[in-house]
Amino acid sequence: MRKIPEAIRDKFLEKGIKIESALTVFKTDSTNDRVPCDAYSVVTEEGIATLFCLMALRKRRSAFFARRKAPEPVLEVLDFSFTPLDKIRSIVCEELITGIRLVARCDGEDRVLLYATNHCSKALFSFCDDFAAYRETGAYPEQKEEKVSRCPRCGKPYPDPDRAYCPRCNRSVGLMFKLMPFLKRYWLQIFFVLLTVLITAGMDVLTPYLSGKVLYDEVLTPAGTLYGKVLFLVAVVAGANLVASLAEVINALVVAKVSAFVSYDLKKTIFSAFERLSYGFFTSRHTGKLLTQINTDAETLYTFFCDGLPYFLTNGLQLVGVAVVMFITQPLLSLVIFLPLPLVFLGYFFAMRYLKRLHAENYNISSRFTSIISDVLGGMRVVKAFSREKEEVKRFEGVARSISASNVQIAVASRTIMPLLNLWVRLTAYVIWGVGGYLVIRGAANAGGGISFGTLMLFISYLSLIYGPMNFFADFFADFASSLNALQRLFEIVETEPDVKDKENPVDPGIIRGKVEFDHVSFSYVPGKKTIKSISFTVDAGETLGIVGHTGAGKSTLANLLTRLYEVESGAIRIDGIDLRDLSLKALRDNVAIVSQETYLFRGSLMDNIRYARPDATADEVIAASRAAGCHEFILSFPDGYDTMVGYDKKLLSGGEMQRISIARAILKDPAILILDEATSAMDTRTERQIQAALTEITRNRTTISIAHRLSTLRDANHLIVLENGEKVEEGTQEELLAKENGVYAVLYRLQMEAMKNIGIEEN
Amino acid sequence: MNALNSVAQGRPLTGENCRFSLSPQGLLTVALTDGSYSGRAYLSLAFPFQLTEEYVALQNEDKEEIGMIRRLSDLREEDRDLVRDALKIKYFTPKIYKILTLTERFGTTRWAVETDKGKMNFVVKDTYKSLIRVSADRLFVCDIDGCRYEIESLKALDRRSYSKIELYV
Repeated sequence: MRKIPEAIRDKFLEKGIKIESALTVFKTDSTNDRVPCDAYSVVTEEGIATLFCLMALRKRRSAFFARRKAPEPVLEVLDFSFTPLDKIRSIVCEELITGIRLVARCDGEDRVLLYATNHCSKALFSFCDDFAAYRETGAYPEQKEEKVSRCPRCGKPYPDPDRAYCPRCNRSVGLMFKLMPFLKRYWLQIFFVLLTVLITAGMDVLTPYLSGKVLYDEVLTPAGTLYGKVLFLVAVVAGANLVASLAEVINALVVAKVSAFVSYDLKKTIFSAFERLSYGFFTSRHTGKLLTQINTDAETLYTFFCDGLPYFLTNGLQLVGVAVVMFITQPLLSLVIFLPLPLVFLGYFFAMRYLKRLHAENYNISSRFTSIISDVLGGMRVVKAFSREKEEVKRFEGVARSISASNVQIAVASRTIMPLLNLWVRLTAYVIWGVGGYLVIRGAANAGGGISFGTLMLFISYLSLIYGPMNFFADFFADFASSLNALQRLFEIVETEPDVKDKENPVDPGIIRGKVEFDHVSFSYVPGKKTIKSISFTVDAGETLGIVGHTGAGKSTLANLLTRLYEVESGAIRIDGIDLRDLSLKALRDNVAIVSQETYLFRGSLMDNIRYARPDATADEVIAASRAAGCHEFILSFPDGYDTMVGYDKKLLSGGEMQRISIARAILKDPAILILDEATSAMDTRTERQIQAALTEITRNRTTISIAHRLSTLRDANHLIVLENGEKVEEGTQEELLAKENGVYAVLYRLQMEAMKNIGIEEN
Repeated sequence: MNALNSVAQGRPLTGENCRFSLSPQGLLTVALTDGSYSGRAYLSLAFPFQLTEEYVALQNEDKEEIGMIRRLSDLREEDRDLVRDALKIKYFTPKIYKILTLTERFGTTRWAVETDKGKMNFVVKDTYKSLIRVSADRLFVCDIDGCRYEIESLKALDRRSYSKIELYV
């Protein structure tokens, strides 16, 4: 049971309610005036008591003690309500727009128990279910373990309540560490990268020292130690350059290779994660975007590790090296050089941020633009049919105009800000020239604090090493952040736990006979809205069960549950007496085939598409299966026969033809259990009749679950069940169901027969 | 249009054919004068953003339409206020007048706002798509749990608050 703060416990006790004897306790978040608060409800045998209060943690006055003692909880009771339980028949959640009203159905009238925001909807809906069970059985159901919808570390709710993944707590450093296993294999290459980076940076610091300080002060000055050895110096400088260039080339080669491999590894890991993840993951709202982003993400990471990071390391090391040399040589002038540096950095930083913002806006508008185009092109038939061309052009114009406005803004901004910043950098350089020149003259006059000409030359050539990469540094942090985002999304997929997975020692019975049992199965896609309500039925091995019902009655959901694309919420599904959750997923999927309303043909030949589930099937087998599914003839009518490429141009095959291909696919798999989910719905009645014979042949001696809204499809079923709003309303053989005068099935049957007659008349 | 009217005419509700009242527990009930329905009244606005006093559908517990109030002014005066109050409860949406913080991380944003009902915190996923722009100035924010928050006027927001959501509007 939920933990309740001590202070709340006392308040309830004051009202004479003992929490220890409670059936259940739940917490909501709003007063009846919809002001945020903490509301605790205690359900006992006597009634439902709710305490609305404000809990605040008041800091202790003295800051010194505050650190040592826990903050003092302050409790302010706003309201208290009590509803006797004996009056309540049931409790329901009424959905409002931004909240939920918990209403008790009492004899004669309804009573509002409390209001809450949607944040509590899951808890309240399950409370209603539990209470209904309590009213029915007299025993309050055991508290299920609360599914954590908040991150245990930061206490904030997960962005996706169904996925226990907190992006906030998977922060930067941790993410980078997670990349380590991917990099470990390439430790030798990475060592080389670091070594070459070190060499390049060292040489870049050394060269100006040689060509500046040493050249002017030692080689060209008569008093210098290397006076006149010009050739020697040139050779050394050239050598240093050569080494630096070599190191750079090696670095680039190794980095390119390693990052390509790492990004390949990442993509591979992700795609194998797909295989592992449950179907629900892919149908959940935001996944589509997630998936399309993967490629871009891998690309972002590649650029970051290939370009950004090495460049950052080289320039960072250089900066440190340059600073050390400069401060040793001439601290005062160094100070003059380094003082404006933070300002320049900040200037670039804000400029970049501003430009990024403009680009983000531009991106938003552009994506709206593309969506309008694809909207119009995709719906061209509708646009033409309702002659809305002019309006569409207007809509298009509006967005096009805002794109051009945004483009102008970007161009103006980038072409004014950047030159201004560069001018600033140059001005800094002129100041240094001025100060440096003054110091050189002082040095020549042997006045104190002077510097040599070589030192000035050294500092001037170092200037570009210091200020040159500043705009890169300013941008680097943004790049870093975006590659962190990319990493984050990748790991989000890799680390998401599948909802449906094999238990530790799954059963693999080998041969499955095909007896299917549904035992009080309930299921809901969204909390509170049961799609399947306690459905039970049995199909003996080799029998055919027909499932009838209106659209949205839950027929396809039964198929999804039987193939374990989703997990049942309560109750159990058994195949040959084995609970689906105990059966290994491989054994299940090897023995169940589904022909569904939506068919998908993969890119490839028809042959490959038909033998998708059994790539080792022979040509004879494929042709036999196609004959059985009634697609042999039309395949032969294509010039390329079974080698016809599909998946690129869907217009080649009609809906009915595609469905027949998928039937052939299922037949070839030869499963113990076949699910036909509206398998013939896209065919006209005549075509359906044609392949009905084939289907009868296939379903003989095979457990078949046939879902249809067209009753003629189900004439061969041994047994029928009728679904309505997720409930089983009728069950029996066709004769039994037809015998019921006003039965759902009988009414449906009569309606459809009349419709058939009409078609028949027209056809004559 | 005439043909449409004859096939798809809902049942208009006016002061003539319906009486609203509050149950002792404060819930709205309705009784049609012809006796065809009496009980709890469930209301739904057909155009909740723009027309809050028009096209109010009256439904029963199973969400089947009993009839439609074309305009609240068609009702008797005392009923009008009852319906208005019930709509206020159903369509209650906190009104944001100040955005304290708005941080984005990995596409989801965390908001701390001040509303007419006090301070609130919420999380919005896929922010750009979760804003319902009713007009250039008015918008609704939809959080991960489906709670809505209204910004009645973007112009009326203070500059700091506005700069925080500028990117998304």
